Amino acid sequence: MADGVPTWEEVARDHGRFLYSVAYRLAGNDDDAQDLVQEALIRIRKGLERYEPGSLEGWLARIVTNVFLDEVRRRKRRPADALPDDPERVLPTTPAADEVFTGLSDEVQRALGALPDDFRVPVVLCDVSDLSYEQIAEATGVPIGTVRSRIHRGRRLLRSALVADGVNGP
Amino acid sequence: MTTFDDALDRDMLSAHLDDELTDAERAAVEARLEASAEWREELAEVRAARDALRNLPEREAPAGFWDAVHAGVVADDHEAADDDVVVPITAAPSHPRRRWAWVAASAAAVAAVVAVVVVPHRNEVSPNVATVVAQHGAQGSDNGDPVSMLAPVGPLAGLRR
Repeated sequence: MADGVPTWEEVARDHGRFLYSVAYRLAGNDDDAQDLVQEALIRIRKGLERYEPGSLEGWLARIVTNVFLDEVRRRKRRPADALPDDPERVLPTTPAADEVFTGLSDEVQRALGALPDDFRVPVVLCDVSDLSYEQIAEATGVPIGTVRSRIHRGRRLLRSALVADGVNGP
Repeated sequence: MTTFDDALDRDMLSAHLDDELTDAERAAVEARLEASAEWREELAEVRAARDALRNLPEREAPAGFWDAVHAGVVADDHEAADDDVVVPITAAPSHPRRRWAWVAASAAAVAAVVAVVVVPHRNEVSPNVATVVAQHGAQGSDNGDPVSMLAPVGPLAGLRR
């Protein structure tokens, strides 16, 4: 690491698990999480020269979120004939049906995956990536008041889903 | 009935948990919490959701993911491979596919070809092709020269009349 700027290898080695966790919580499944991380790492590698030492994980989370949002927008732009007939081509909002769930974390992930993107993204950035509201506003391009509202509503939706799923405690 | 302004105020409950309020806002929220059981209940709900998310374990990438990513980067960047010392990512918490999955896929394809071409295996074709070729080749060869050994192709394919 020179001048506080890590090498790409150091990012992958020391922050890979964090990066993958954020990608997985956003995407809801391993296949899309892997794609997100790979694309994010390409951008990270290109962007390291311009990285200014600060909250490295905040910077990494913003990049993987931008990759995720770009992918969401790309899929929304697709013509109708490229949509649901091929489920593999649509970013799922819920985990794959054949995914094996074990333990409470899987119930939470399922509820998280069912949230609309507009709520899931700020909630993940806040509670998984630990970004400030200001950083989330910057990463998502929405006003900070909207971030606050979406985080609150997202958490309420999540809580309702967990209760409906029989999960009462945190 | 919940008004728009009331909904905005309730958003402050999450912001309160996240320490994202100004001093004045925090004081207003705390006063409201003192007075309203409904607000306290909603605060407990969002706190439970927040705690559930923050208690989620980190997610491990599937086995081989990081190795394949690393291999893909090295393959993509010849200059870096020449100039830099590549730090092994064996200590990376976990492991790829797609964009750089071609590395693994190519290796698998090569292995499959090698297995088919090089590895000896039992001939399960019936009748035995070598025997048929020898028999028909003998019939089709007039003088035993090498070119005439191509004759068996005709009979087997039903081309000779």
